[in-house]
Amino acid sequence: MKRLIYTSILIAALTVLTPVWVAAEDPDFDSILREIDDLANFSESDFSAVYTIISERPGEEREVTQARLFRRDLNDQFLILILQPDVQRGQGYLQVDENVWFYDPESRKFERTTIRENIQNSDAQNADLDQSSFSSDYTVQSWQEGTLGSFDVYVVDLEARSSDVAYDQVRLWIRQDQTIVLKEEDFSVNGRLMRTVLYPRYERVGSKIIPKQVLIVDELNDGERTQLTMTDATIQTIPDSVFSKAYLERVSN
Amino acid sequence: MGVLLRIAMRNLTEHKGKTLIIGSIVALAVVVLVVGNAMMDTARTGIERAFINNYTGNIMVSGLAEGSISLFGVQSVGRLEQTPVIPEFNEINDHLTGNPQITATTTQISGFGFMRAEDDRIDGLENSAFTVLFGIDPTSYREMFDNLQLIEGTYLEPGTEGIMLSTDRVEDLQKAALRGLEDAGIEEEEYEIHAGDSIRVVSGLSQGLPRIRVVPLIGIYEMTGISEGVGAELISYIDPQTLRALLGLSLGASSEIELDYEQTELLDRVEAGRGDSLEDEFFSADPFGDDLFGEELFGDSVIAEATGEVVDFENLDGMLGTGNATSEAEEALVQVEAEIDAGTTWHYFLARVENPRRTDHVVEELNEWFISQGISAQAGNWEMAAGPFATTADVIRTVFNIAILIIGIVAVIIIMNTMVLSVMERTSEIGTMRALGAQRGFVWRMFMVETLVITSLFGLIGVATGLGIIGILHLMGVPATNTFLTILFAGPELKPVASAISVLGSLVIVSVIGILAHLYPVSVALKIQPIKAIQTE
Repeated sequence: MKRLIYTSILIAALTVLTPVWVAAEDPDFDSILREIDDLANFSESDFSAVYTIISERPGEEREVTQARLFRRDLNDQFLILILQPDVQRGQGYLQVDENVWFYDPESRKFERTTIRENIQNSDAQNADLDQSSFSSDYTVQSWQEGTLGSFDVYVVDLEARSSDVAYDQVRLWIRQDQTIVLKEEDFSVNGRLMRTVLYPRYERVGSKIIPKQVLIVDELNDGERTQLTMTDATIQTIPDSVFSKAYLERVSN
Repeated sequence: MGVLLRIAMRNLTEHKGKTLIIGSIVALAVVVLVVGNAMMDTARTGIERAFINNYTGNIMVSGLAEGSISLFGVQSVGRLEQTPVIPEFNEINDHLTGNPQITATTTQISGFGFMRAEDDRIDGLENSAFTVLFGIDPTSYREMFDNLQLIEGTYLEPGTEGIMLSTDRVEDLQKAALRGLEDAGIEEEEYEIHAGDSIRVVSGLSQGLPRIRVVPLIGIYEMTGISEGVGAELISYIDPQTLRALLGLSLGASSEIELDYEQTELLDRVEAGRGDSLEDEFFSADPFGDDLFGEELFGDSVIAEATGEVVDFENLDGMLGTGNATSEAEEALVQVEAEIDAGTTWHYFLARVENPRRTDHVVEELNEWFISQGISAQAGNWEMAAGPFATTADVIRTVFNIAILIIGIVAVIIIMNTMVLSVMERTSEIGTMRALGAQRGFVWRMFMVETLVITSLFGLIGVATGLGIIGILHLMGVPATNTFLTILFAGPELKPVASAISVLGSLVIVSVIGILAHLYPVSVALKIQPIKAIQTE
């Protein structure tokens, strides 16, 4: 009888202790998200690269857009300069602080806005090229361990802190041995899967790690996909004059 | 027959009270049917006319799109679909103008955008007014749709840059301008916009980054004979060349850009579809030994090193590049530009037909012709052209029709009930007649004649009363007190007109109901033994 009591106490103790023990081993997702953001954000240097965005729709020819991106994350400055197609060359999207300006090189006019929109009618959004901000925009709801192809990953569910972000819920597949996102699913407020994003290849730029190739699958329109490819990435200092309306005017003169 | 009619008349006058009750119910039902039908008919033709005369014409011809297409663009889920340009413009144009059933045609481009007064003190898309832009050929458009009443300025002239705004859009622009001034910390009581002012138009975002144009306000107009809720109030008319530029309609050579393997690699691999899933395709060691996604490239080397080439940001020429479009792409672009110069780049043809009743027939013929010629175009009627607005009007009309139908059914039930009771009450009379030697057929015919007399007499009274009511309503006009009714009535008020067909139809319906209502009780009464029938009280 005594033996039984001891056993019961031991089991009870174990039951109580087990979660504590597991919790101690829990990955710290807040710091993982910060690390992911940090890896993609350039707080100490500028960043510039050429992005080729190719969108594909069933029965249509692929649509190609090429743009050079200039980023100075320290001051929230951001410029997209369209290089291709020819008829759009010189169009620009300039963000300084809270303001965004569009530039039309044909009429040489600027228009200011605060509206977020998709790039060139593809599935990519401006936010895809801007600073990563998972840790400030989302909170971790739940997580589990899993595998993605041949990688061990954490599958983490995030929920938006406010409605200012493009997607209300996000699920991330984060590599366990190296803090990079391999896959992302974006959901609407009512939990509908809007798009799936795959990051099969990254590139080391200075001390940062930036997705080199990205595949975005539109889950609302079957067969619609967009590939983003980053080339000519550099962290060299960008002259201040680049982040100005005058630069857009001069560059397409 | 003469005997039957006499007996019927005598019976009706004998039972004056009963005849009057049944008669008034019949008359009331006819009044409801006649007035209801007249209102419905007038509303339907009104809505149709409002659309056809103001901006849809009888027939719309457009290119093919995945979603349903209307003059307001292509409807699609989750994004903005580009409206297709009409293919084989000249061929279609010749076919339409050579068709004897088509009396007039015009061409149009549609888009949407945001407008504001071009004023240095105002900026920001948020201080703009939304508009649907119709790029038109002024001459033929004006011939086809002649109900723009100019308040200020002039009509668009062919080959001249400019925009025409409705008074409704001008009001919105003035409000937006006041908002903009307030944002800039400038307080003003009102902001006036007049013909001759400059208007900034920013295109919608369906084609990349928005384009911006500043055009003179040529004229301000009011639309006559149309109401709110049918889409017309959102429309602004702009010269087609400016709208083509705003929409980037010369775009078309983008796929000819030379691309590296890695820039299309992911898309190509998905298309080849060797993996069971995208995850297998991209995140597993490749069983096919593909040297780019081969096993040795996984692990840490999924992260590559940047090439680290130096970029000269001040070299402005090098920054934009000279473009790496191939010579075919350049040729294609030149061709597109030539087409635009020739003025054959349009989204729609709109056409008027000689006999509107044959519209559907002409549409069908056109569609057959497109298929036979292998042209990716389609024709549709005004409902297709009005798109979402026709659907709105349709839904409201259906609700209204159902309401009328319910009233009709209630009237029918009351008539049937009254008739059944009145026959049941006369069971002993039927028994007596049968006992005196009247044949079943005679009794049947007698009741039939009685019903016909009662329905036609009181039906005519109902028709007369109904017509009287319609006449009064027509003179007074039924005011549309809310948006729901405005759309339904296709105007601020409805002036119902009765049609001969619906009046005759109402009479026939009531007579048929009367006869049907007699069948059951008379057949029951006839089945009873005459002696028992006589005893029934």
